[in-house]
Amino acid sequence: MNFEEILGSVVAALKEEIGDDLSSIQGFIDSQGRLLAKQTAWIATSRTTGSLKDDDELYEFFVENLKTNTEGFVRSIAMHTIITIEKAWNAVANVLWGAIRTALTGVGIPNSMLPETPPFSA
Amino acid sequence: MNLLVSVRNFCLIVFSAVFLTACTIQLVPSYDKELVSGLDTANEKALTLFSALGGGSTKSEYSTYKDDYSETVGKLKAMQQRAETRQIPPLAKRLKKIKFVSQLCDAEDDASACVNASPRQIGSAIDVLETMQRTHKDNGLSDDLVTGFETGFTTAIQQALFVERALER
Repeated sequence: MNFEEILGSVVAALKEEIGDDLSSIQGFIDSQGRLLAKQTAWIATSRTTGSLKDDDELYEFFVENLKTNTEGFVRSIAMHTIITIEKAWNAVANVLWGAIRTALTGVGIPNSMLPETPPFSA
Repeated sequence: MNLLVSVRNFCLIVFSAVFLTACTIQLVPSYDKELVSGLDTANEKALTLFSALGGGSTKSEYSTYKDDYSETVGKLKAMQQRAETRQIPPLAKRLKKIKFVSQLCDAEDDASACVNASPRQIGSAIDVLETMQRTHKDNGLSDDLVTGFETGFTTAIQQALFVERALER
C-alpha cells in the first residue's frame, strides 16, 4: 500500500464531502441571522409604537418564540455539524477499506469475497 | 502450502473485518423524502396565507381563511408526528456524553434534541400559526402583526427544512 496515495485519497474524499457542506451552512447562517435580527427589531418597534404596545400576552408570545427560534438555530448548526462528522468519518472509512481491498486482492483473495463498502457499521 | 495460504488469507480477511468494525457510522436519522415534501407543501400553503393576509385582515374576515389555517396546521402536525416517531440511530445516544452536545442540546433531558432537531422547529412553526389563528378569530390582524407572525414562522420552517435536507447524504 502506498501511504501518500492513500492520504491523497482521504484528503480528496474529505474535500468532496465537506466542501459543499461549508457553503450550504454559510448561506443558512446568513439567512437565519437576518431573520432573527429582523424579528428582534420588529418586537422592539411594535412594543413601542405598534400592535404589541398594549398587548402583553402577544408580546410575551413573540419574545418566547424568538427564544425558541434562537435555540432552534443553534441546534440546526449542531445537527449539521454532527452530519458533517458522520460524512467525514464514513468517507475516510470507505477510502481505507478501498485500500485494504486492493491490497487483499493483490495477494490473491477473490474480489467476490470483499464487499465494495466497509462490511460493518454502527 | 496451499493450506497455509488459505489460512493466511482467512486471517487477513478476519483482521480487516475486525479493524473496520464500526468504521462506518450513522449518527443521525435517515433522509425522509416524504417528510421534506410534506414540509415544502405546508410551507407553500402558509406563505400563500401570509400573502393573502398582507395588509391585515378583520375579525369578520376570519371565516374566509379558517380552512387555510386548518389545512396548514394539520399538515405540519402530521409532519411533526412523522419526524418524532422515526428511528434514532443507537450510537446517537452516546453523543450526550460529549459536553458541548449536552450543553447546546439539552441532551440530558432529550438525547435526540440535536440529532433530530426538526420536531421542535416544526412545533415552533405550528405555535406561530395557531397563535395567529386565535388572534385573527378574536381580534383581527393588523399588517404589523402579520409581519411578526410571518417572520417567526419563516425562521422556524427554514430551520426544519435545512436539517431535513441535510440528511440526504
